Amino acid sequence: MFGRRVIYVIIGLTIAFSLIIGSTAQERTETTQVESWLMDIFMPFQTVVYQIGDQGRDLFYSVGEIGNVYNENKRLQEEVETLEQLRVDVELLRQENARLRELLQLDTEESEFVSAAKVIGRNPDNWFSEVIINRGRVHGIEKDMVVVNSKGLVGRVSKVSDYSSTVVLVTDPDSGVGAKIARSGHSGVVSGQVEQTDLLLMKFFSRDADVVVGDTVLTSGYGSMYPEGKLIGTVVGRKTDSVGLVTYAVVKPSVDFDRLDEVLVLKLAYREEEVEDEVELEE
Amino acid sequence: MLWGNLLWIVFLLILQIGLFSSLKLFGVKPDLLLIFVVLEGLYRGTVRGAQVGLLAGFMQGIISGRFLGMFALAKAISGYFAGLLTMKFFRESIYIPLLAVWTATIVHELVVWAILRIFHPSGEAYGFVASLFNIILPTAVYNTLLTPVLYYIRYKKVNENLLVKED
Repeated sequence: MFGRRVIYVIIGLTIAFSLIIGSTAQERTETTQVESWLMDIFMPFQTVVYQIGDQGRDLFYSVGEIGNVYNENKRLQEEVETLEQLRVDVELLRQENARLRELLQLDTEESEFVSAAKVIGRNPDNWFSEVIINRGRVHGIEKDMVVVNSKGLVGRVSKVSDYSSTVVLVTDPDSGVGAKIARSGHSGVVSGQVEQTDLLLMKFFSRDADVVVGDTVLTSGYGSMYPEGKLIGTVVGRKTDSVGLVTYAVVKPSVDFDRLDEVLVLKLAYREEEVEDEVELEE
Repeated sequence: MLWGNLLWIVFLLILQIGLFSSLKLFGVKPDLLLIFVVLEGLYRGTVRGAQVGLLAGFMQGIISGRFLGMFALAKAISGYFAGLLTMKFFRESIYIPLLAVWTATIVHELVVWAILRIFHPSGEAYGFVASLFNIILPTAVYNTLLTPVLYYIRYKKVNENLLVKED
């Protein structure tokens, strides 16, 4: 079936591809200009298609949810009452905070984000978890900037072109976010998994980590890429590996990654630290 | 002819990124480009299938920028493989494109899985059983379900012309 020539071609291609794939397996620090142009050429079309698709997508998902609407409505009404009380408390705290700030003569808080962005697309395959946002180099976006939304941590910028960027989501198996349990302070690393693509896996550094279902998981700030204290999700399960050496927590992310529309891109966390280090050295 | 294919690839890629990547079924996205590559291989032969697969895969790879060439290799193999099927089966039946897409998707995803296992820094995250049941087989089902759409839009005519020529 295969001629000798075909076999040579296959062997040659396999070697060539292994080299290309191997050299780009790790994230590169720079994006080539050709890639950047191609990404930006797609962007306007992609934005239009994504916006049209937005409505179709909502319909697609809402069909399966009709049964839950009644119960959810009841639950939400109860929640509204609780939130109303919270609102009053927050207002009181805000006033107190402003008073104390004035007392300490602190400057008003510096904005921690670079830009708000809209999601305009998703990666085409099922092996990675990425989204494309409509902000790029010209808007001040840089590689490794952290992306959040109102619900919590979304991911980090992995690739920047002039007018758009690619964000690796927390649900990607390669995300590796430094995390801790808010209650006990035990820390580990959170990343996506193939077994249950909508849940995260937190691998603890310590075998007897104190973790129970319902615990809140936050970013720990270790590894300096992700700032400390961003909400990642809630623990829904706990397991150990087959040898019993490593403890894992199964974490349900607080962000709904199927419906991701607007996000905030934060300033680089480690750059600020570097500046602080330099100041200390000078002193 | 390859220019026409390039336009189709760009069109399908935009549709994939902007729309179909969000329309998950069984927890997975379909792969419109792969369906296109397989049909191209099936009706225009092994070489064309491999060429279009290479082009489509590279365009797809640029989106994430990681593992450049992985999808190109997987799609080129799938396109070539689809071309081989033509030699074995008659093309008249609508079941042939369905069978081709089903099989080629499994081949495509297995190639990707193998490359990830070898080259990915967290390669052990892609366990075989989990990948097979959560990604590979559901994607094959979804792709097969979408095949008739692309077949009737683009290839039904091509197929009929081919059959006339062969007669």
